Amino acid sequence: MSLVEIVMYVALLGALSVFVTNSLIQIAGAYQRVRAEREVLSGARTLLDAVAKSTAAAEEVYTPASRFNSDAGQLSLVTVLGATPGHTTAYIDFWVDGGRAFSRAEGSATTTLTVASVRVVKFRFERLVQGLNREAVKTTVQVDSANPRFPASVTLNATTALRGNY
Amino acid sequence: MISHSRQQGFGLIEVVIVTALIVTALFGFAQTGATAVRLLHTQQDNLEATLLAREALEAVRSARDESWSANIAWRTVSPLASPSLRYYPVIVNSKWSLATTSPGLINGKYARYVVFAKVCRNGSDDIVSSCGTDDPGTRKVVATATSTTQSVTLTTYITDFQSYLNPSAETKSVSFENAITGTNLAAFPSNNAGTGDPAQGFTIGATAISVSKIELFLRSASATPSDIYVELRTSPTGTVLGTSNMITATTMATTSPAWVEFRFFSPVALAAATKYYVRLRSTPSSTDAGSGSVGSLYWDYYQQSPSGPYAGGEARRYIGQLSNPADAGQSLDQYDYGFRIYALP
Repeated sequence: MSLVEIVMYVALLGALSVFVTNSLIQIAGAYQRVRAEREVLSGARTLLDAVAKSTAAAEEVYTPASRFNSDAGQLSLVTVLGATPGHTTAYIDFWVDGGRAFSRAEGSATTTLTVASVRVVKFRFERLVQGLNREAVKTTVQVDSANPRFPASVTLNATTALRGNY
Repeated sequence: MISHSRQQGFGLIEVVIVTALIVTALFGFAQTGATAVRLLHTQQDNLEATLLAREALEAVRSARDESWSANIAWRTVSPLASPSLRYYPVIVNSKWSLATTSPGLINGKYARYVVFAKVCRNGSDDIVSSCGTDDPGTRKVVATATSTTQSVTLTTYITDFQSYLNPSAETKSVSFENAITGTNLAAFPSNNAGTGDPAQGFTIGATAISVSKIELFLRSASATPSDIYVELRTSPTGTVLGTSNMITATTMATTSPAWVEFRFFSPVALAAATKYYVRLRSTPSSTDAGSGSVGSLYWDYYQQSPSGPYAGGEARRYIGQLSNPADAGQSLDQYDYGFRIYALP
């Protein structure tokens, strides 16, 4: 093997190493980004579904414990689901604290609705009253990635009428 | 020597092949990542559009729940099964409304609208695509949410089943409807200065009533006024008998005044021949300087000398100003704000 060949091999190896390393970093970044996007999408959808299902089944909004028209909103519902013995209805609350969403059904422990890798930056409720005993809640959820290196954000909204039993 | 020469040549080819393989593999991985991101974006767009279309159908059901005849029945045109114009679900005064003009793109991205079509039935009462008899109590609704990359269409049927349920009817019990002047009379909501709330006094007739809703004749005079609600009180600063739902003030009309509906979720019992006050409030509170409240709204009124046009009460302003809950504000005895008090039978 001549000196020229050695130089050529070393140069090729160096260039290849740089390329491979750079590519691996980019691929790892891409997969981290995919993961962040997937987590915010899944987190937002799960959160919105949980609120919407409980709202649809609720009989009424419990006003004193609810906070409307705020990006850090809180919703308290009176529902027949999960009623304890001796009671016909129960309360279920949704709120956000420190970028994470929580719910608590009466008589149950607090449940965390979002994972630590996402932040709930908007959890907004708007109370709509269409007529006598015709009430609905418009929910807007914005979930961002908690990792600033891989920004991802999803905003979803839904309007759910309070129908009481379905 | 020959063998040695072959070995040297194979080494070069090997390097080239391995390099090509590695580059190809890395390119494949990178493409997989980019494709995954693209698919996720497509999935996100599809989910957003689906939820918007679903919300449009919920808006139509809400409008149906309010009044079939006023909100749904007339929105179709002949011939049968011919779709109507496009209607755009928008929130006005904290209730769904179907506008004829587009409110613009939602989230800067999606156009959303619904169309209505009459529904035909055959002799067996089954829905058929054409001919048959028009069912005036059923409408086909098609909701569409579309962007440059996604288009989602959902279809449903709605019926006028609630007309068979005999819902409770509210009746107008006390009112003053001749308010014709819209100016910034009450400086409400205060622009962070704590100038207080306006109120209107009214007197119940000879029979006690249970108030289910109040309508005030209001107009938004700025882009982002604070949200508002009303309280029923025994006096301008007296006991709170009832608190209404909150109205998102940014959804109020800005060009001309309209009757804005405030609902009480538990009917408020008011005694016969007794004077009460409906006090307009804001969130953040207009009574506290530095609260962050933003003006302004015009509560239309009528001025008449020497006394106001409505004999059962008077308009007031500046109630509770500068965080003084005992301050009954200024009586405007020549003025009355427009209001309607509704009661359940």
